[in-house]
Amino acid sequence: MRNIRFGGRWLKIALATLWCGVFAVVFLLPTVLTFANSFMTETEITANYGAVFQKNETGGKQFISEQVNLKLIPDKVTFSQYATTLLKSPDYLLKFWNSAILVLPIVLFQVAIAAFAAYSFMRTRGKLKEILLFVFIFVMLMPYQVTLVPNYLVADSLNILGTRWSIILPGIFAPFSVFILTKAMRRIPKSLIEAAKLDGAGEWRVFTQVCLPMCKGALFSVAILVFIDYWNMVEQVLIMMPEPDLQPLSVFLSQINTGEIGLAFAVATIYMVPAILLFLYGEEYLVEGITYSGGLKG
Amino acid sequence: MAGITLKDVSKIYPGSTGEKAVDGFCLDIKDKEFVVIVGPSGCGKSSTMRMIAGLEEVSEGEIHIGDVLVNDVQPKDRNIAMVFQSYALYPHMSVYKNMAFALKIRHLNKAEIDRRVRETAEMLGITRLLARKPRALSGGESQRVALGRAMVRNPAVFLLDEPLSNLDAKLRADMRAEIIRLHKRLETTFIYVTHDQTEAMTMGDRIVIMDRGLILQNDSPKDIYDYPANIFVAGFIGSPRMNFVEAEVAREGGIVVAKFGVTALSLEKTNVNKDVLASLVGKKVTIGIRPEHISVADSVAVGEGLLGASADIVEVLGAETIIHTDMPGDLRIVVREFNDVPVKRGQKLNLAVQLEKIHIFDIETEDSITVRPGGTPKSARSKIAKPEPDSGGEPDASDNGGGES
Repeated sequence: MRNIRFGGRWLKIALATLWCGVFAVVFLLPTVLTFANSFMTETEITANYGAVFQKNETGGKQFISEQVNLKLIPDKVTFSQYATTLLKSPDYLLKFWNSAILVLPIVLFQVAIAAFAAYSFMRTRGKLKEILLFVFIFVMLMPYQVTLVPNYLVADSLNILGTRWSIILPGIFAPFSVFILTKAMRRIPKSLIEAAKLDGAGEWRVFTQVCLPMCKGALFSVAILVFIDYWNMVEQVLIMMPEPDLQPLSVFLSQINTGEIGLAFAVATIYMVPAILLFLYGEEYLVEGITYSGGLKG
Repeated sequence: MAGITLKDVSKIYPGSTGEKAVDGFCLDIKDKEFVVIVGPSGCGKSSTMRMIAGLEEVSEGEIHIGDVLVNDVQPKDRNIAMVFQSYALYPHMSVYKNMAFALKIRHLNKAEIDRRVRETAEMLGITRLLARKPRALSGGESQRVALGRAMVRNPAVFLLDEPLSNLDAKLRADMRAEIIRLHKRLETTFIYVTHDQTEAMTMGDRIVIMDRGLILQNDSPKDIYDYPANIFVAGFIGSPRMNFVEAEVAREGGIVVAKFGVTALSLEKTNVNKDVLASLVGKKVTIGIRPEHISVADSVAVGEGLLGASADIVEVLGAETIIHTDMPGDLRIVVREFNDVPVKRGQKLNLAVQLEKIHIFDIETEDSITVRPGGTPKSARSKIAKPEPDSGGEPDASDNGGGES
């Protein structure tokens, strides 16, 4: 009886591990292939994937699956794509800079504003607060496309269409961050805030020296999620800011895909680096943040 | 250092349909006094403390710390320190920083902060913990740090809100003694809130017993034990709690007795005015006898003050034995026997009652009729609406179970 139980436990563990392993491979494979392909020559990539993009007789694209060859190790390692991307073409660095100056203020101000709002939601009592929080959650549940048109109209009326402000301003006021940080701040025991008050702290000191350090995890996770969200934005930019010189790397990547496929792999790899580094740095916080939000992402 | 005066203080929480959590609370706390506010959950003791701290607004009445009316004074400006039940240590700060936090806010120089923190840590024996974060502390250590954080500011008043509730029994006893020592050493006013009658009895110079927002008795521990003002207080203080029996007062052979079941106990030796006693004849009263005032008598002993009972549950505690007994008339009496008397379950017993220790309570108002030397303190009991017969939380005259209230 004991042996059967023991065996059953191991079988469960083995099945769970297998299940997780399959998922890990499925999710990791595109990333690993992108990374591997970025070191292949254009010829090798075309040989492996060319058929996928082969044009048919009517001029459309034809998918020929049997010709796809997923290779993890290049026949000949080359850095030419990286050299082209980083050294020979100024486009990449320009677009990287465009991404940075769009995303960094959004992350910084969104986290700051959300932290203030969350503190207010935590500290104030009354029905008005509850109604306001409900509105926040309601807006959060709306898909981005729903708020895109109002955002466009507001940007137009503010005369900021086509400028970076048309992306930054709607970006820094986000209900999702407020929601996560409100939940995090509500987990701070009331007695801690009362203890700080008795110690002589005013609201600002309670906010900065008690609440913010205690929500460090949630703040980081919000920052990471917002960064990843805006680092990958495409539609907002295409609609609000059609001027190519201002567009970020995410849009550039989607355009480069259509032409030089080898270059696209290298650009995609470099493009992933900030997000991956950020994820590796704040993995724990990210998990914490997702836990706070109840596994929801708006 | 300061005394505290509460004048007719009431607390009505928003959305509570006008019900008073604290109702007309009047109390004078002398400088350097150790006052314990005790009562069951929801009696208003914590609300009272929070109003003194400034964490809750005072709905009615006045609170003075020293000579200053502090109703509208911010908590930080009241010069008080509070130790919370949960300790409320800042988890992201080391013990040192936790203790130094209030001093930094007061812009003391670094050397002075360091001196005070180390001096307090030394006094509490927590110097070795100064670099640790709260999560690396045990319950007892956290408690000491919480005390240290309060002490380091040299406040005029210490407020302690059930600070020992989260500790195990042994540690609680140790910390109890530690806090008493601390009070003597610091010579500061201490207000201590607890629901534990043992803490109340052992720690306070004075005990304030509350129920449903009202003060039921405000007295020294000894006087509260000897002269409880009403049934609630009598049942709340003492472990096992006082036995209550509904009895009829009668005169038998010229002696006034309390008759219940098939038993009659003489009331002649009780501290009740003779005229009052005579006026009770023919009326129903509630008799209260503490378990320690009943003992197992020699089986051949005869005389007044003896009850016949049979042992139901016997709890041998070493130094004493708690015997739950059944009496005719479906009565249950708990006995606290200090002598080494071998008692078995089901054994027939003769119980000897110390007649002079019997308490008599009015069956209607539940106030004590027993006369106390120097006069009986006014009970606030009558301000409480009588509970419904089936409502919980109140001592029932026929319920004589032991244990802490």
